[in-house]
Amino acid sequence: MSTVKVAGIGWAQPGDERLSHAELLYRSTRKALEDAGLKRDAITSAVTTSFDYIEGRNLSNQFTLDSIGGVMKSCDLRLSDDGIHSIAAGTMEALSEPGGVVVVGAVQMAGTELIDSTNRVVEETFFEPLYLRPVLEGHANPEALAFGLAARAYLARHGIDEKRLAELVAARSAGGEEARTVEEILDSPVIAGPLHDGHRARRVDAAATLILTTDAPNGARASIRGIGWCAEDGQLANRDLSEQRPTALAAERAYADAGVTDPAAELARVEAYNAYGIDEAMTVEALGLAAAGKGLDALLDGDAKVNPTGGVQGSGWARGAASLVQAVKAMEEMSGQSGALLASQGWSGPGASSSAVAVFEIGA
Amino acid sequence: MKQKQRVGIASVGMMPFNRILEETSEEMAYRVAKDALDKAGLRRDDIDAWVVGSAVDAFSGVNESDKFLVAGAGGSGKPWFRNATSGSTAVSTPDLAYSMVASGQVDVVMCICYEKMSDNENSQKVFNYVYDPAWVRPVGLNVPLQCGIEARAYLHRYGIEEEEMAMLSVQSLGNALDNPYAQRGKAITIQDVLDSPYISWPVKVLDTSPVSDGARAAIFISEDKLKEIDDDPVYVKGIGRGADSYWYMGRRNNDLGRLDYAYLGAKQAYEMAGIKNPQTEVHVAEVYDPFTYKAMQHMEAAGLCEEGGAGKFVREGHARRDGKLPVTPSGGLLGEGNPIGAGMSRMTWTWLQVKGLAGGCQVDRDVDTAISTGWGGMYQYNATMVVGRD
Repeated sequence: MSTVKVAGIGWAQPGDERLSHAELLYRSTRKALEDAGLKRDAITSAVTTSFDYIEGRNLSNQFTLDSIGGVMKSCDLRLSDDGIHSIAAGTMEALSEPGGVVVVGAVQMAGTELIDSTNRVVEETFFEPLYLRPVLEGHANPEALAFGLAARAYLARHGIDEKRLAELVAARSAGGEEARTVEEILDSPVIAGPLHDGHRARRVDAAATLILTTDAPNGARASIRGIGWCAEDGQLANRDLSEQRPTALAAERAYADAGVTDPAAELARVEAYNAYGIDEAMTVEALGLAAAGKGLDALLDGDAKVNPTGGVQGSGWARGAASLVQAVKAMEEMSGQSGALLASQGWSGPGASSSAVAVFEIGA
Repeated sequence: MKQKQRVGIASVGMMPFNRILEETSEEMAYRVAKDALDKAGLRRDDIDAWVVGSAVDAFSGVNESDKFLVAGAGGSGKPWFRNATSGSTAVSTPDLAYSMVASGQVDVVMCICYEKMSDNENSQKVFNYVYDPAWVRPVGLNVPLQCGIEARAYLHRYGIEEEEMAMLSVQSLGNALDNPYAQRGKAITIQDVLDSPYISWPVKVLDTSPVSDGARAAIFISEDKLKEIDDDPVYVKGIGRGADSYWYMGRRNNDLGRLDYAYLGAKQAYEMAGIKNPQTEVHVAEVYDPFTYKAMQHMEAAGLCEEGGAGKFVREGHARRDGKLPVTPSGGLLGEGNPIGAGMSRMTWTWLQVKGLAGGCQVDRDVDTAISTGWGGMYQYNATMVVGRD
């Protein structure tokens, strides 16, 4: 049985430098190749993720082909999803051509104010034009609106005080560059009730790269034990927004692959996407780590295996690349914990209508 | 995780290409998915995963446009990806569907490629966001100018004539008269093409494919499953993808007239398929042809004729439906229409040709092996797929 290994990892954030998306992905890929002990010539194919509107460029991945060592290679695949989705696609790419070296990369200039006001373009085009867009026209934060509706549905369904959600975001942001207290969060402007601006993670630029292969003679950071991905209808009215069913279905598949039957006991660490806080609460339930309506309690009062460094609330939100960046950072921090299982999750689509989960075994 | 397995195609889903303002992308996805399921005798529950492709979000003007297709395509609650590599989405998306099945992770994948361009009032302006804002956009390069530069380099390098480009346009629009899904089937003359206005010398309006809306579907399936439903199975026998640098002025070979990356994609596909001489072993080809000169470049890169010989190949009639190696007997993008991401139509027609289901577009010979190509990115990606029976 072929097993796909993570031969090398790398991530990059600009810090004080001003870097383009091509430079960011070059840096993360260079680090990943060095980590894997491989040269650029070894690369056989690639899967990347990025969102064009956030980047302010059509076909934004075309610019980064050179960055991932993809010239005169089969390196064109690009998913319009968040980073973890590319792990699933990259794993299948590696299994379909055993012995190949697959670059899985994600980059997004999510924190840079781009020319042509592209962030505004994202907001104006966030929903399809026939049903939702006319209803929601003029709303300043359509993406937040989807999560606001989800938060309202979730808190009302389970009888939870809004303050508990602010407590989670305050705890997660505590170690980051823009820590917020509960009071600061609740005093900040409402972007989509019950969500305030303080609930939303701070946007940053970032890139991450993994080198996947079925054959890693130089050793591996991890093995991919399970992958799962799933989508539901993007129309908000057609889903129960109080739960994260796409994540639950993705996790079911990833756990089955990995042989995980008791995730709370078997997973050593979980990176759950938490751009608005409410997504993290619902995600831990969907991942089987808490009962329905008990996600916030589990995160605030339970063990610290979920987002121990704060997730994207702590380290910044590069929407489009964020889940891959968090997975790479977690693998880096877990080096030495051979045999430990890491689960990483990411979402895309309105109100997380699409989700992906990957289970890694460290050092295998 | 399961082992690698062989991959076939169970069926394809079709719909007419045109400017279809009154139909949403979701409705188009429903039409082609249902058509493919009905033709294969499969039900939605038989599909393990979906992969969809559209060129770029900007064409439809909807961020993450695929997320609103999920229910219409039948994929709610199921594994779902969206691939987007501009024009080469035509073959890179089916390539992704292939690798999903080949990996053993899933057995049956619904692959849908779509584009809804009629909602966009200025596709050219949108397309220009494909250029780097720091270095290229300020220079004023746009897609028509770029194709003119490339066409001029190609014609100059190989001595191809504008009249030979026009002959291909006449052939493709004529072929489209027999294609029930075509937008621009038309009997025209070489002089009509030569008299049409230049959009960027030497490329004229009738050398160019029309803007369109549409979708195509194909069901990729493991060999074991395919044999359960089809006693004349058609397989994916070869795939290949090549890519060159984004920087148009910094290509590996410093020559826009020769598409090294397209030669690479074809070479990979033929090696996988065990094809040594495509001129005799390929029985029909659907090449990606948004412009006449692109079709000719792709014919050469795929080895359907000698390098630099596409003009002569067309002039002598070898590419005609009754020629020795028919090229785009469906009419191609030039005649059928060009909803960019839905260029997978080229691949679906190769399946129809091998199965003998191409109707009025069926070529006058037995077809066991057929190829399709896709092209995209910043004139930098190319992909080739070989389908056929054993």
